[in-house]
Amino acid sequence: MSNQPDIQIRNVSFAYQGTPVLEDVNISVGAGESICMVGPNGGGKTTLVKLILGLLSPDRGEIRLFGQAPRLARLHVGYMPQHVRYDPLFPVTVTDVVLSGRLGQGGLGGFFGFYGKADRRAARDALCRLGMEQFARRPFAALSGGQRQRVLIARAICSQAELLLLDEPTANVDMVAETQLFKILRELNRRMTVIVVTHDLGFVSNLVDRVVCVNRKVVTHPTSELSGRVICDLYGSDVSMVRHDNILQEPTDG
Amino acid sequence: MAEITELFEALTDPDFPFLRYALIAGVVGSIPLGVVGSYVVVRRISYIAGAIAHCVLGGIGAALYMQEVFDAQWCLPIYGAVLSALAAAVVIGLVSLYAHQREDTVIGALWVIGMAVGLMFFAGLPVYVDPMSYLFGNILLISPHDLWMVAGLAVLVAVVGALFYNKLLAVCFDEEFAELRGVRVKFYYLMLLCMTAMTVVLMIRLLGVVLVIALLTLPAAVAGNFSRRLWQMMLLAVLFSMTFIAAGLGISYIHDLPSGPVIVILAGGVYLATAVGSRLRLRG
Repeated sequence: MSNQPDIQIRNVSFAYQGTPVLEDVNISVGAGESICMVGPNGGGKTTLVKLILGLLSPDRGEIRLFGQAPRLARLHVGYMPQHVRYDPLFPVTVTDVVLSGRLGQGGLGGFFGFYGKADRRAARDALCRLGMEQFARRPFAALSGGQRQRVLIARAICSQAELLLLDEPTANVDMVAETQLFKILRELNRRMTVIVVTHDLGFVSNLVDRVVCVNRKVVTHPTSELSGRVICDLYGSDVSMVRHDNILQEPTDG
Repeated sequence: MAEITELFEALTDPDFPFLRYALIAGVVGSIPLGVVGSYVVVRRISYIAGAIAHCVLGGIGAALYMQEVFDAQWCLPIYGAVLSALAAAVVIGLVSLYAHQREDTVIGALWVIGMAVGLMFFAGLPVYVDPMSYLFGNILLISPHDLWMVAGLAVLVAVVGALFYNKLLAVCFDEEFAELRGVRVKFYYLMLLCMTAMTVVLMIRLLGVVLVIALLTLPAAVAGNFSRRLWQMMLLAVLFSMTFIAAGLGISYIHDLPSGPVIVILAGGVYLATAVGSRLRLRG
């Protein structure tokens, strides 16, 4: 697995009913890398995520996930969606939610979706890793936005994932939770490839090796290159940034 | 107290079996009602369950028409009901999976078309058959054969619901994530709709096409107020459903009222009271 990239995207284009969303995308993500995908709303970030996961198929080009078709390999991906359209009164506990990350295993137990001791241990470990073990028996609906986010990350990592794919993990999360999340992701990156989709550049610039800018076309920058001009190009106008570190400069030109 | 004694005498009277059959059908039928109803409520598909139930009238009408006009005595209304319910479940399920736009309009159209087709068949019958008993239930029609079918369904739903509990829970909670974990979500969704269809069909004798949806959703909705996990909701929903049906049958017998509406008003009243109660509790 080591010399083969986790994700290989070649010349991929995708359109929703004739409207091009992504054009001629080429990305390669190696094992152990940390990548951030940024871009404006409607720029195609979530579409790219769905293509990587095989929930959508590209109109042109090819996507390989761990060298296989995405549908076959996506069990190795721990995914945290941007929105869970769940019923706010849905009767599940935190543990129930995290355990569902253990579905998709082979054998008779996997066929019925039974959870064994190993599954429960993995769920407990995942919750501990995110500092959520004391919430294990709480109703999921009773948690705050940031706590729910962490439970959904626990669900993503307890599947023995080799690649973690988080879609907008900082949406609806306050700054304290954001800082904690940042530490957790850096820790997780030691064991697995991490891809974070965000519109929040300040969050990622310290975390990741490369930034992938998605706005119909896709351009990759090493983090060190990330400057005001790149951001201007990306969003098409000046962006006033609220920052909690000082690596980036407020753009003054453009 | 005299009425209560009379009720128990009626229940044990060997010449008076229909009340006993209705009670057994209701208590045993509460198992599929509570289990399937909980899935329907948390997955928010009570509208789809309603459409399936109303399409059943089309199948019943067609079967009666076959019997009366073509003299096909083997073609019992229950067969028409089962076939039309399963067909409606698959068609409506596929519509809701693939027709992303105006899904509710399409389902609403199927709902009324199924019902209208049924009423056309009823109108075409050479003898007059009152559709009322199929719409609102008639416990006088319950036979021992029906009881066996209800019991069979209860076992089937309980076994399937227990074996695939985790997968069905994952599909209801977060369909996309379940799919990424290799769960065949479309298959489980259609299976859930088919279990809904069978539950609806077998409770039609007791409650009718229109009222059966109330007993599918209301006990589960009441139970939802007191549960933090899905299996607790199912267990409570089964118990609430049994209580509503048993109490409703008793009240309807004592006061000589139609049983289906009494059961539904009882369930609806308790639901509204608990809904208001939980709101007040949240405020206070």
